[in-house]
Amino acid sequence: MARCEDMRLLLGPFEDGELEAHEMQEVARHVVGCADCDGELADYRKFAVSLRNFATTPDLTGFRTAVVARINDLPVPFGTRVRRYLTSFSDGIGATFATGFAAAAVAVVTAVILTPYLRQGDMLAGLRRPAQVASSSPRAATNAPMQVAKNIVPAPVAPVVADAGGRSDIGLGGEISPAMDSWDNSGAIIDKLEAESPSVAVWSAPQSDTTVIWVPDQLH
Amino acid sequence: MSRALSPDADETELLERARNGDSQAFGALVERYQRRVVGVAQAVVHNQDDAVELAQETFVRAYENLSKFESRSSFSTWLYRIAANLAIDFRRREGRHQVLRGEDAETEINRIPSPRGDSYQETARTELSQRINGALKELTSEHRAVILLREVEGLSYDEISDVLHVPRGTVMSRLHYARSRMREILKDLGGS
Repeated sequence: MARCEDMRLLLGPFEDGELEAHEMQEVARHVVGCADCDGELADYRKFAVSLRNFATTPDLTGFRTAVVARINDLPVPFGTRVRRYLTSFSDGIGATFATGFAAAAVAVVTAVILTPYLRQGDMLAGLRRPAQVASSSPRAATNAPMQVAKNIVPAPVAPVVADAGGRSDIGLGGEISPAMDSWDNSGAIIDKLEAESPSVAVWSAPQSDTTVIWVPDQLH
Repeated sequence: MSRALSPDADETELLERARNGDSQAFGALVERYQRRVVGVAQAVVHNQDDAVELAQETFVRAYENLSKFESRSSFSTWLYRIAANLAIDFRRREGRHQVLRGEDAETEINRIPSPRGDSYQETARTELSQRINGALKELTSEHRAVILLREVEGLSYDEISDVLHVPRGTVMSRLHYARSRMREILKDLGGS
């Protein structure tokens, strides 16, 4: 009966369908030829049915409502509230808002990234733009919209050669003067320079850090 | 915000909505699993009132920890595991390892569907239920839990192993012992 002892260990799993296919076949073949094991298996089935029939489930009326009420009383963590709020936005009207917000964010980031390059491009364009040559007349020159950079004093020794096309070679050599740091002074400075000698005003459209340099033209 | 819930709404969708704070979606999941969760708790603590309370606590804990549920196991198995853990802790706390309270034994299995007009049959059923209940009381709580989870709740061996945190082999040996013991106790019923 050693074989029956081995088989009895497998009768329960056989009844529960928890054996491998080959074990199922082996147990099934044994049970067909063994009255004891067949009787034991029948008892297992009978007890299982009885347990199921007599086991009772308590009345669960109102169970769901009670659970949901408890859930609704739970404090919601701040992070969860924010996540749910954002989710609710993305589900409904907020989709437009979210899209707009995302587009704006992309625009800002793009602007921040591209601004240095744009500035550089403007500066290059400014350099390529032909310089305007003002009239040698002091009156005409003073009527032109001119900008004088703060604190830059014309360097008398720095030559500027302006050709017919308006291109100019501008020498370096300006020095900082705290006394000449206002727009009010610039007109007087220009008048003074033009009154002393014939001159050429080299003017370009206002740029950032624009400098207007007056240089006596009799040097050439 | 709450969209209509169909009775057989997709579980994944219900879970997603519950994670986003839709308590009604979670309510639908409660409705779906409440009976078996109560059954799992009852298999361990052997008391209906305690089982219902533990089942409620199970669902509340599950809701609070939905973000931690990673779908590696099924949602139902995850629920059963929570229920079994709570029930095992409860049983340890209450010191109910071996002995059922008298009224618990009555309520656990004793509520029998009453066939009308046949008092003999009704009496027989009552006696049978008392015998089965008595046999269950003879088992240790570990053996009783395993056989109830298998026979009444219909959990697979792997699910029982997962829920009770014991190896599958232990589930098989406990089931074998519980069945053999019940057969021995109820041997006079076996042939009837």
